[in-house]
Amino acid sequence: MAIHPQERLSDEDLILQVQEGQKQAFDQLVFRYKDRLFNFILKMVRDPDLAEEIAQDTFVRAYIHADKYRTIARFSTWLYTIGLNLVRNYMRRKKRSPIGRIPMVGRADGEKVEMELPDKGHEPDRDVRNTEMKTRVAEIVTKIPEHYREPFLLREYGDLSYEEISAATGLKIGTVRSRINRARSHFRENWVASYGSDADTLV
Amino acid sequence: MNCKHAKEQISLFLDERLDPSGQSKLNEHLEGCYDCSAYLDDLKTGLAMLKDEGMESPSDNFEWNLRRKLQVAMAQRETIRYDESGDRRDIWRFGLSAAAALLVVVTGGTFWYQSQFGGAGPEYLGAESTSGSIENTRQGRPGWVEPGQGSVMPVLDQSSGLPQGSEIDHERPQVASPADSVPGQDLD
Repeated sequence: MAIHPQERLSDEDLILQVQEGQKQAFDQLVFRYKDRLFNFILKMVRDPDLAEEIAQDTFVRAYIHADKYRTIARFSTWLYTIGLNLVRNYMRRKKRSPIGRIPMVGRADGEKVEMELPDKGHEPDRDVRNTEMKTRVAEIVTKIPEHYREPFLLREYGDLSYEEISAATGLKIGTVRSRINRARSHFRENWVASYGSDADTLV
Repeated sequence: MNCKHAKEQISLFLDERLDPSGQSKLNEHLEGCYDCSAYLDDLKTGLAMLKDEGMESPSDNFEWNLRRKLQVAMAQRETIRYDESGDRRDIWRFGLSAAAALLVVVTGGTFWYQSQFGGAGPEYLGAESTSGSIENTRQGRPGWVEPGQGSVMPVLDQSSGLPQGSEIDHERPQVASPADSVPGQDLD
């Protein structure tokens, strides 16, 4: 099967093509990043539908403001920074809102929509996809305190360097390093509590 | 190296940010520390699982919904551009009106200058001086007082109120107004 020429291009080349008006280059970027971006956001907000909304809004903003992208940063850093800002906006609104009802992030059509928090015990559309393993991993990650989780997920899902995480979050590199270390410590603790330690199987 | 420091180094090791010297020290610690070795193994397993098994896929409608949002966002953007271009049209309209008003004032001023002093018009409009230098235009004009000889204003005749040496032309109005110099121009 022939490889489409755009599949060979770097992310940065593709976004430059978008800047030049080649809209189909953006499809390739969506294809490359939708899963990782969605998972990063999902582990932050813990709601699949909302994670999709925010991921879509992230791509919309990236497309609309493509002309603002500069090659001094990797495209992935830029994209995750947009996503992170939208997640932070959501988190701020959630903290201000009464429990149980939270405003959606700004939709592209400008409509403000109120939504119910999902019932954790019943997600009919996703029951098939959500295996027990996925759910447990998600639970382990979401137990990590939020301020540690953010740089940790940017590292694990975004594959951003410490410097890029520093640029995206506004944290100093030393703080990024320390928070990732602490997040991993929490992750391991929860992992062992859920699955047991590798060391246990050797005994 | 204590265990707390070793765990910090393990995190750096996983991110490939540990230099050979640090890696060697960590290896030494791991060889003698069962807990830290288990910590590293658990993290390796858990993080691999997080990236593989823990990955969820967005719904099948993800791209369709994204396309719809993009269409709406682009349509809104075009609307904003249209509104902004409307604003720009207003700015152009204002600029042209201001330029027209300025042209009328300058033209009126030129005619007034000519009616008062003759010649082709003020030099700032590009008219050549008919009498050469500024000194020549001032010197010899009735009632003109040279600098150092008193006031720089013309000396007026006590009886007529005109500059000294002026002759009164009774056929022509003595006081010219800008309105007189621009036919059909009502400055009020």
